[in-house]
Amino acid sequence: MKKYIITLLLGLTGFYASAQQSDFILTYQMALPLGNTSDYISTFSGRGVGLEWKKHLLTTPVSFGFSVNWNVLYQKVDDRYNSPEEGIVADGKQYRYHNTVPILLHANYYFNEDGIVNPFVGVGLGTYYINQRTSFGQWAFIEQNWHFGVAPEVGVVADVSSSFNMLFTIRYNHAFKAGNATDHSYLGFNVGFVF
Amino acid sequence: MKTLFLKAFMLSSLIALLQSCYPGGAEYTSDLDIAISRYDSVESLRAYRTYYLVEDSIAVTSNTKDTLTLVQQLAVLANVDTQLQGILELEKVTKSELESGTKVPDLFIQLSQIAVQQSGFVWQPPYYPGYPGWGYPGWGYPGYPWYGGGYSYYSYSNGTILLDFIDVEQTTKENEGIGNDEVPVLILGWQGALNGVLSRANSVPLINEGVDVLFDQYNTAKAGTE
Repeated sequence: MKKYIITLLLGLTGFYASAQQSDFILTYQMALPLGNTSDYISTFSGRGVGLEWKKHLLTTPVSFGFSVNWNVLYQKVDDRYNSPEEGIVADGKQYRYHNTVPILLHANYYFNEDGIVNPFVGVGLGTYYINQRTSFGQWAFIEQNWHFGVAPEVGVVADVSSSFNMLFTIRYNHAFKAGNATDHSYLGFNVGFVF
Repeated sequence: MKTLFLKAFMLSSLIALLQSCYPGGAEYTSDLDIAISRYDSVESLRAYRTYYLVEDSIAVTSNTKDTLTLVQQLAVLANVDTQLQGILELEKVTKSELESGTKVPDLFIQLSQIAVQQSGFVWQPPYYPGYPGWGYPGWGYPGYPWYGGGYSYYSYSNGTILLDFIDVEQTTKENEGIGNDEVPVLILGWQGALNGVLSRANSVPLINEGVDVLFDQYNTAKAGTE
């Protein structure tokens, strides 16, 4: 364990020593639920926000960063609940909320770092806090879990102004199974300002 | 300094935007109305053929006045009686047939209304702690239900209508040899609950609509598939 910590510290020291420019990014995030998440809430969401800090390396077109994001999925469902195993049938309006907070470390590679339009590919790795709440009548069924997850993404940075750049990315978020909770995934469409 | 101000402005705008469009959920009291039913065995549901319905009145558990009047109760009971034969296709056993012992129903059905003010009630089929007397010959008259133990949930003053389908054969077997002063244990074959229908003008059409939904759930349960 000690060995890994020392390696990590040395790596970080090297990274900061060679780091050139840092970026602060604010993103507006939209989400398209996929897989199990889509089974629970299928509607596209325009409710999301993200903050990201990035450091670019001096010699290679690579950056490392850290982000905190918040995505909210919501759907009102009128479907009948029928569970022969539990011996329950229920009708009523269900209000389904799915809050995801991805906290990720990022590594990106840039293809045209000095250009006006700079495409990149990257990957995020970290934890997804997911709070899923179903309101039914006067009751609420809540599931909350911390998941391990990955977030590969493709994007482009556009040099639009002297004080900030614009960022457009498509990020696939995948939170792996945690405890009794299923895995979750959604495709994020992010528009941001890079300062 | 200018950039810092811009960052702070953008950040607070984004958070404010997200906060303002956070989904709100239920808007009206009617959005909270639910119909829910529970049962123990699909085979039993398929086996029930006959019923006896307590038609005199609906039992009351309440600490408010938000309950149905006798006229409203009788209107609800008339609809329940009709739909037991219509939607559920069960055969009715009359009071005289029951009392003379010429017919023994599969189900003894009693309705109750619960209008509680911010306190909980508990619902636990199929084992029922029992009425002081549940109206079946030899067990006394219908009384007020008492709920205890197990699955609990809370209700505000909007109230609940419960439909209890008591399995006569199982209940009789369960209570063989108990003394007169002992409370019988009632075995429910099925129980339906309409939550949110009382005190919203105590609308009989609304309750009747809910009863139809519950009986449709019974048929869904009988089909036995998801």
